[in-house]
Amino acid sequence: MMTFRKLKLAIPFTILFLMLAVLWSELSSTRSFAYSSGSSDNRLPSFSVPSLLGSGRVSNSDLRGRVTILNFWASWCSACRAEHRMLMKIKNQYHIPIYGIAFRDDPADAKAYLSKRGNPYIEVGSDPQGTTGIEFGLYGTPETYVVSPNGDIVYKQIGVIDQSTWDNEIYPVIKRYQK
Amino acid sequence: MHHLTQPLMILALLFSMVPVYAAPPVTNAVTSTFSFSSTRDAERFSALTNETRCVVCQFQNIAESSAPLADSLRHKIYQLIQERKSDDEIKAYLVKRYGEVILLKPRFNLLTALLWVFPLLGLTVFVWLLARLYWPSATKRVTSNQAARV
Repeated sequence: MMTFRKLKLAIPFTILFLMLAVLWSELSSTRSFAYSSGSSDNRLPSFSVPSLLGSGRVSNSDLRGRVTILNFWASWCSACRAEHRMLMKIKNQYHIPIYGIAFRDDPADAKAYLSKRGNPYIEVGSDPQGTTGIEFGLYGTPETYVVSPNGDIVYKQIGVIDQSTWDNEIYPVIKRYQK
Repeated sequence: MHHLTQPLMILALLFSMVPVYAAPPVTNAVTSTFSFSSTRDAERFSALTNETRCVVCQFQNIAESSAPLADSLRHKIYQLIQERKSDDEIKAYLVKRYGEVILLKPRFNLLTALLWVFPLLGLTVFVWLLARLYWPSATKRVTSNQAARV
């Protein structure tokens, strides 16, 4: 009888625990997609957004001519904060040009974020309404694209870039297009 | 009496499914935050946002959702309407980026044909099973009549 009562108590907690585990795994999950260059489906969408730090504009044509990284981020996004150190490392240690787009962010907050944590980007665009993100089929931040020298998206990462993702997936793709 | 209640129960069951398909589109307050040059454009915006799934929400369209991505999708649809794009062009734009799943009412084409055909097939099988369950005597009678004829 006692065991049955204990079991009745344990069932809701077990369900709650399982739900929390699923939630945690979904929140911390990353998905990556590798594309082959030359397909019409993975052309870099054309975009033009105002520069966050300067007076000009950031557009798709800025990314042509060399392999680049395009990173959608936001100052309100906690996962972006977790990724930021890795982006700084990519800039300082691997010297890969990273372009950023502040997705649905207040420009003042985005500037404060970069001055506090450091700026890993060669240029940052501002997309306050998120319509440029929609152009890319964005689901959320952070989301990162590797763009080949001829303007094809050759890799897409949904979620945080960590050292392991960089070493095993992203950097090998970049090296292929650096040659 | 028993014979009368069975068909009525089946009819009631079938009619209970109707509102799922015939539910009117939800009117939304979101439309009012965008200004349109014509009523027709406002109606198109309302219809399109009601038919577009919020891809980061559970069972919500972007007209109802307060998710940031839903807001961005509303802005994009508004932008495309201002650019004089047709409903089909806007839907094709969304599907190209998010897949057919973004449309709450998927378009009918070779890829989605199964989605449209399976509910009808399922309903037919369901009605057939109900008929077998509630009128086994009738089916048996048919079989026995056939046997007699043979």
